[in-house]
Amino acid sequence: MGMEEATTRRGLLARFAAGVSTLLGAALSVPFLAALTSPARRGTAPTRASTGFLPVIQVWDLPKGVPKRVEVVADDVDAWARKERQVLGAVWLIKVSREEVKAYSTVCPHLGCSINAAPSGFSCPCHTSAFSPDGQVVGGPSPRSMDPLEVKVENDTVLVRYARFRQGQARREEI
Amino acid sequence: MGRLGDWLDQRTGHRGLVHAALHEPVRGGARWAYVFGSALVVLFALQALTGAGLALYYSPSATDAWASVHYIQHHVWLGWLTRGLHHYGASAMVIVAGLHLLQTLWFGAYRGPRELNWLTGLALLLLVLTFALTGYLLPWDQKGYWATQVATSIIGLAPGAGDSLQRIAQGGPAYGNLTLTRFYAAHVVLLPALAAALIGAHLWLFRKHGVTTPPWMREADGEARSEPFFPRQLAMDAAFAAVLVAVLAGLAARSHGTTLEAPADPSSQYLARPEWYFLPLFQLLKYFPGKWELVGAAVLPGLALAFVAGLPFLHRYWSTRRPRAARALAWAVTAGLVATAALGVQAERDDAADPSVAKLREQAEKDAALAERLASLGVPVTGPLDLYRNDPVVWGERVYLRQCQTCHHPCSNEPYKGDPCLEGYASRAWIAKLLRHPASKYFFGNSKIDEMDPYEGDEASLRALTEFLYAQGARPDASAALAAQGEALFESEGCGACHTLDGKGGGDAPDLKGYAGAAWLSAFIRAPGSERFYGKLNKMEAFDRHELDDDEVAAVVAFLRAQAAQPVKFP
Repeated sequence: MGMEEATTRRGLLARFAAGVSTLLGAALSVPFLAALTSPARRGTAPTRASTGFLPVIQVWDLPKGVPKRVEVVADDVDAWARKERQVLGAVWLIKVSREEVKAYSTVCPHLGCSINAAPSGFSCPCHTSAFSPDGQVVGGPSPRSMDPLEVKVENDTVLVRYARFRQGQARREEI
Repeated sequence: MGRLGDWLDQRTGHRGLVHAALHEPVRGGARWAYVFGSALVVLFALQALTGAGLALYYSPSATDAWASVHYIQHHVWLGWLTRGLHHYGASAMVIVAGLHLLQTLWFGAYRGPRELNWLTGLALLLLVLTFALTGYLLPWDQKGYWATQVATSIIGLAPGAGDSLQRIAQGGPAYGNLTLTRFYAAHVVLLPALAAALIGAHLWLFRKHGVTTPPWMREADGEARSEPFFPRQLAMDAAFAAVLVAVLAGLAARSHGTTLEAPADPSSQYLARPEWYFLPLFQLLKYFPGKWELVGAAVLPGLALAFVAGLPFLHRYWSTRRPRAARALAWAVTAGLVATAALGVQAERDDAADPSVAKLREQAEKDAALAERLASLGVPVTGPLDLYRNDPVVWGERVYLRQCQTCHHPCSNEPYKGDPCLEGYASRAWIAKLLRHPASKYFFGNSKIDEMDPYEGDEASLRALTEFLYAQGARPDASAALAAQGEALFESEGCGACHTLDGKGGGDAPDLKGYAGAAWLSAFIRAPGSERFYGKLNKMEAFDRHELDDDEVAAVVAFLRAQAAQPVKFP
């Protein structure tokens, strides 16, 4: 075997060894990376909760014109667990009349803190965003007004379509 | 690149490390027999990476474990592949560790001064088996639950401290949340830490003593034919590991991951069998019944292990007198491994020859498929056994088996000694048989209720009467015309002498208005001895709300109602 031939053979083997080892390393990482990034893929997991209108309160239990915080309760699926009558969150309700109620998410559009009622409307205790009684942002860092929720009154029952929205941006985008 | 490398090397010295790793001299030259050690490192990495992927989703609690594994299998991207690789990877570790041991044995690489290489290797093999044992329980399915029960019960056999040891192993007196948290902590924290330390020690010792010259070469020849690990040995190692991983991926793809059996059910009848690598131990137990159990469970395996561990020392002792001691010892250990494998094969053959095993396996597969179907609706937070509540008929059957079958035996029992057999209950065939043979052992023969006369009318009348009773249960497929004929016969043939049709009854015989309907059945189960049903003739226990809550009664009723579409299983 000449020196040159030996060198070529050795070089080929070296490339083969390095190549297969690299491929092997990549292949071994695939299952973990898939598991890690799985939540970023849409539609693989069962959807959470019902997206329809949920009954939250009887309309006569709401004081007229004064915001009232009401829990939203529904059956929920959290990953694998099906839970009955879980508190999904809360909504601010303001009764306009017996037939009309306004609903706002209690989640601050800024960074997701819980919005409180304030003498001048609403305020967020975390970063002092302030909102008018009809949910318009009037101060603080919140990039948009409070998120309104679809609401209707049927047979004196207030029904809300509960939803969550992406935070920290001016555009309202449901998630 | 070169300058960055220089900068890094000045600070870390990494080039020296890489050089030392790749230029390990392989005495006697690279060979395929040496690939198993690296393959084990690759498999360990595979188990660690797939394990980390699984741990992102797995939840170690009795209520959530099964459901989270079901979620991994069905909802996580490539989750089935991750599970499958982890499952087959565990088996591969046992096989490759065995091959690595045999190679070391026949090449004499266990001899002094490599005693500690051998012992750390053996400890790693035991660690692999402990990994397998602890991991098997984690899905909390029937298979893992029952197989692991046997293992922890064996710990309980230890004389003196058995009970305490068993409690420590399972986190309490019985299986539950604490067993899972304990096994999970062992499987993902304690054992990996121990394994990493032992692998480090094993590799360090290997590098310290170097590759053993093959026994058929003289030391000088081995040195002369020595070559560095890189590239030839690394190429062989990488090629073998790549083929191995490809085979594992193929196996995982073929079975779409691995099975998840029905959720662990402490009340069920289940055929407990360990994973294949524990079958020899399982088989050994069969030969040592009663008070000798400990011999099969611990003494013999312990002696075998002590012999293997003592190999380097035995060799030192014998080799001074017998030049071929190494070969004799290698043969002895190999023969022991073959015998161990034979025990495992015998266990499989025993099972294959036993029809009851096949039956229980078939049942386990059916249960697994059922649980899988029900779990697609979400698993209740109360735990996977409440899955069966997702389907009232399925749930009803489980309640029925627990509460009703103690008296209403399976029709296939021979000789039949139970109260009325309810398989196919209130189907047309069942009603017709009851009318013809009320005193049959499958109806009231064993209950000693003999007030009812057999119906002796012609077949056409029997059909009409049957249809009338069948239609009482609000069956959509009942024929109204035929039932109307039956209703006329009900009076003319004298049924009305004892049976009423007013929903109140007279205490002589069950009122048949709405017979076998949902309302009739639930009222009957609550109070069979009321005037509306059997009155003073009643022999059946009344099930109040303490014994069966309303949901359970509704489920049993759903199950009994579904029987009308089932065949009658007695002559």
